[in-house]
Amino acid sequence: MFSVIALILVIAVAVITMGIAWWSYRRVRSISDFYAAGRQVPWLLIAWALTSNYLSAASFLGVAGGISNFGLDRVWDPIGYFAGWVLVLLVAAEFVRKVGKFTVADILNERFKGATELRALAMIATVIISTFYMIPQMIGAGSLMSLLLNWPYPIAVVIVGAIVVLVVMMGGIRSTVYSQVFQALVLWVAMLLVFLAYLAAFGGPSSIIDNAYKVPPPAVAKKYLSIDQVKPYMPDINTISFNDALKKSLELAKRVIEKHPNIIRMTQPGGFARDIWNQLSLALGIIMGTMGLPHILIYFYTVPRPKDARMGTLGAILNIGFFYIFSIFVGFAAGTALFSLITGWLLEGKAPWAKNMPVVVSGKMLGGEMLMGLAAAGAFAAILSTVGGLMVAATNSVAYDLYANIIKKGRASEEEQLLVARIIAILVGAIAIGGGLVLKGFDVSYLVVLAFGIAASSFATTLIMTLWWKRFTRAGAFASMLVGLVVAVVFVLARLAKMSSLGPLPVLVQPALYSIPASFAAGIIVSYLTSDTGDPEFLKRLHEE
Amino acid sequence: MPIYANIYEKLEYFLYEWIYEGVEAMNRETKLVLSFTIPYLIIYMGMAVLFGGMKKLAGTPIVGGLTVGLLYALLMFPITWGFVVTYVILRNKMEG
Repeated sequence: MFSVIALILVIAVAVITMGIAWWSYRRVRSISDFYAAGRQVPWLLIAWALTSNYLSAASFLGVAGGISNFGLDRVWDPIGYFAGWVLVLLVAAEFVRKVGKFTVADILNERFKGATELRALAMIATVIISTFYMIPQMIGAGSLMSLLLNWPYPIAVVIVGAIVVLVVMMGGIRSTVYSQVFQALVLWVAMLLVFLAYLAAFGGPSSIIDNAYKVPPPAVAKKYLSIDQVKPYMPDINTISFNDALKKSLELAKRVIEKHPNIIRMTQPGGFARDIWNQLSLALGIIMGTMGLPHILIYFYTVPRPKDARMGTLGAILNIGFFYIFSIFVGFAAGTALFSLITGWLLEGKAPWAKNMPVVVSGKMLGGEMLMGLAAAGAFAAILSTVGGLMVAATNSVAYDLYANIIKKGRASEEEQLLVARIIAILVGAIAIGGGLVLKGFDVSYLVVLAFGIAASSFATTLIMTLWWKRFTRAGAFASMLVGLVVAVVFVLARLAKMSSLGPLPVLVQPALYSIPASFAAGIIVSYLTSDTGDPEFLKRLHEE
Repeated sequence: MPIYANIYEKLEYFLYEWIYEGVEAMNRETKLVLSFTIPYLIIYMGMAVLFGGMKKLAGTPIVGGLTVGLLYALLMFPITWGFVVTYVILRNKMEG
């Protein structure tokens, strides 16, 4: 799959990213610049920065890849990740901007003044969420660059980690935001072009859907086929053409359907079946988790006014929605045209190829090396942008919450804080790179689910009550965060240990169905038992128009 | 329909009272946020129920290859955009 054009485009993304970071570095003059980009970023830019911050390689390659493997059931993923933004807009964005300063812990401390225990717990949750989210990104980066560009795995991990560390060190959130705007454009346009190429090839969106109904999901079809039956229908990816691939795929699919008429089709559920409780838990975890992700929340500090946070979120919702629509159609189109290729990969035991390569191979099939290169560059941009956002969230929290506020009790000078923040960026980067290298080959994608679960059960629940409930107390905030964190982690560890139940409770794909109610319950009960509701003017200040 | 409307109204009133609890400035803001959050969550969780518990219905073709589940999923995009754009317009108006 190696392509010189793909390599050139990936290097171009890296060089432009570093150039933007260098440009930003020269404009970092204060700690506010480093932690909050001087609160001067226009909302339109934040909309695009949030877009690429949120759209990782899992979105760029994994959403369309998942649909092309499993069909309709995996359409749930983009819908859930998209819908989570509605709660971000309605209950968090502008309110976070109104009261926060640099980190999530600031929101709690604005209401509960001097609550060091809340700051410490919020810092721990931020580091856990960011690390668990970041390590799978690093492993993904290593694997993908090996697949796409034949880079050795360790080199790919170190290159991605080093670029992001340099970007964060140079300008903190300022350089990260501006480079993410560029990365967002690359990945968004890349997906748009693959989508348009499929529209042209199939002759419109309804033709994509109609043809998808003629084909079973490859992950289901492989159960009824052997590799010898599939091999004659597998196109050579170096010389692949759309008409040939589609013809072979439809022929193979017809044979499978003739033998097994009840087999499900791409546009029907059942390929990746979840029962009602797992589905509800996943739905709850995703929609609540998005508004608790620290690398999303801290971006609202970078805009001048709360209204800009609102508009930036609206822009991100539009961008992310269009991106996921493109991805859904690309997923169905790739699952149809590349049906025999993906089924063959699955039967050959090449599941990572089957899951991650459909978008890139689609690029090659529809637009030659140029479109394939752009798809590879889009994937690289998606990795850089998400790792950047996560690294900046963890760096800000450790440097500002732990060092400047807890250890130095707010007496650190700006120069000292900047130096410490840059050192911490290196440490966070080293942990991410080390995690990526040590855990090579492990399926740690589940850590992202944990990150969403923890974010939903600790930050989201506590933030909702802090920002909206008058009776909420300092002890209630601590209890809701701690209980949510512990319940989420316990159920995810049980899941990782392949336990089917914990006592009477079945272990679900997402801990949210247990951990979110537990967090709310702890917050409410403890609040009614205690009395410190914090600054009496906080809610008035927050909600005054 | 009136029964559902009544339940919905009561749920909204309960949440409003519980959250509001006398903070004057939160009055209109809370009501606006709740009037968007609750219907959206119902629509969103409805899709989770369809995909998790009503697979046969979700897989029923409507026209060509378009199934009930896929139509619901695709409609989520314009519905979401409609919700957020309307909310932002009303919120901006509220601020003047």
